[in-house]
Amino acid sequence: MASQRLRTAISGGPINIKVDNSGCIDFSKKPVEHKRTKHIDIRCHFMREVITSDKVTLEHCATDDMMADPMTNELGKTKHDRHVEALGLR
Amino acid sequence: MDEEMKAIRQNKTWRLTNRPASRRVLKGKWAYKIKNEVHKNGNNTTRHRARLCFMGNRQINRLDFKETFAPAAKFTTILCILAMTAASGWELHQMDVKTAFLNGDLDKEVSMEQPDGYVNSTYPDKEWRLFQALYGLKQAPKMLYAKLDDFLKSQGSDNIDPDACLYLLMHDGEIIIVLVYVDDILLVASSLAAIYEIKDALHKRFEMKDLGEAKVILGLNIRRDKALGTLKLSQGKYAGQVLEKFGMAECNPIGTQLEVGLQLVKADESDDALPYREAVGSLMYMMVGTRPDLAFAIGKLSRFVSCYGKEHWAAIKRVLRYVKGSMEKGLDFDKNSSCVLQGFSDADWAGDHETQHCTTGFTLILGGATVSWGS
Repeated sequence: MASQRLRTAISGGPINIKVDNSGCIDFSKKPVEHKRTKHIDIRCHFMREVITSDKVTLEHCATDDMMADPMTNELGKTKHDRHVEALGLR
Repeated sequence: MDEEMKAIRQNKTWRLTNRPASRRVLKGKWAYKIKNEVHKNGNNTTRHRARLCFMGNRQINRLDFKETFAPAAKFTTILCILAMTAASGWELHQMDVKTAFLNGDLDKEVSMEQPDGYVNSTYPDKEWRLFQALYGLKQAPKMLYAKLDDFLKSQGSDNIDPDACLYLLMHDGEIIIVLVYVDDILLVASSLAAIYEIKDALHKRFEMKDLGEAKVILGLNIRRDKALGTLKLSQGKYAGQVLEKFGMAECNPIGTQLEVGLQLVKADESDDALPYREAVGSLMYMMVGTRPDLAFAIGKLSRFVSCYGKEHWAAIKRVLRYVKGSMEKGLDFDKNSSCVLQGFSDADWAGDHETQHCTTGFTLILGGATVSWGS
């Protein structure tokens, strides 16, 4: 019971995840076959499950606002500084 | 030594018994340590501490012990709790269990020879039958955790399923959160009265050291400004030690971790003269604690811990130079930031040219700073 209260205190609803790949969002809503849809991982089915049960929502964001960008790329100085600030490092 | 013996006696750790024929009797050993203590008035004193250790290295699995697993709180849990603490202006205190492992009850018969210097003169041939755990015993951490768990549950707290070390108590509308990291206990509550209440209860049951408001947890420095509602975590001291260790204390700082578009390939043979693995490992702890910005660089460089050469070493030196320029940087939680969990997820398309593997990265942001990340 208490853990439930803590959980709602944190988020109060589904967790929103921002993604900069709109193809991925579309696919999560409606998995259509296409000649380029291949190598679908089992994790994808997990994601579809949590999305259809409203635990997680996906939202598109521009690559420039993608805060996970420093986790996948080595960035130049300007972009790096902006992202580091956004990650809460001060 | 006498102080340690006193603690051991107080806990009724052992009883002198006849040497059993069937059971294995293992040895104990004294371990000495010089501890530096900084007092509140700024004075430094050194204290000599002796600790009686059980020689757990001679214990045999299944014969002398069965399970040794003891859970410890995850960094993500600690960070989430700190974010909520900053956002809600809660009280944050810390306690420490004195001679922690002596508190664990043993569920199995364990025997030990009488320790050096404390051999009973009338019965030198008898041995100690242990009832409480000693330092060095393989199962000691598990036993301590079991006892703390029992106690916290008897106080009516709820164990939260994502982390076995997080306990939640609701009391007269006050929330009390207890976070256990082996013998370090972090207490969070909505009021000071609630903090004192749980402290009293803990004092009654265990021998505790009250550390007051939390300042350092697991080497992470906590700086709090209640008026502004900020809470900053940093590892500046550790960063300094790492730079010192690799002879980079006086290096020129640099603004980014890695060169843009850096492609590294596996070296045919590792250059063992370079302390590459040590450097990756040392930076890894910083990355896990307070530095999500290092995650990608460390992830990339740790692919080469078994096949590194000069160019890899040059890359990690650049990371160290970056650390030098950002030593005091840390996670800064802020009351005014939104307390809604926000996730970000990104992938690069076959970023590793050698294997065509992709890198996935994610961060979860709560209260103005990242609480969970991966690369």
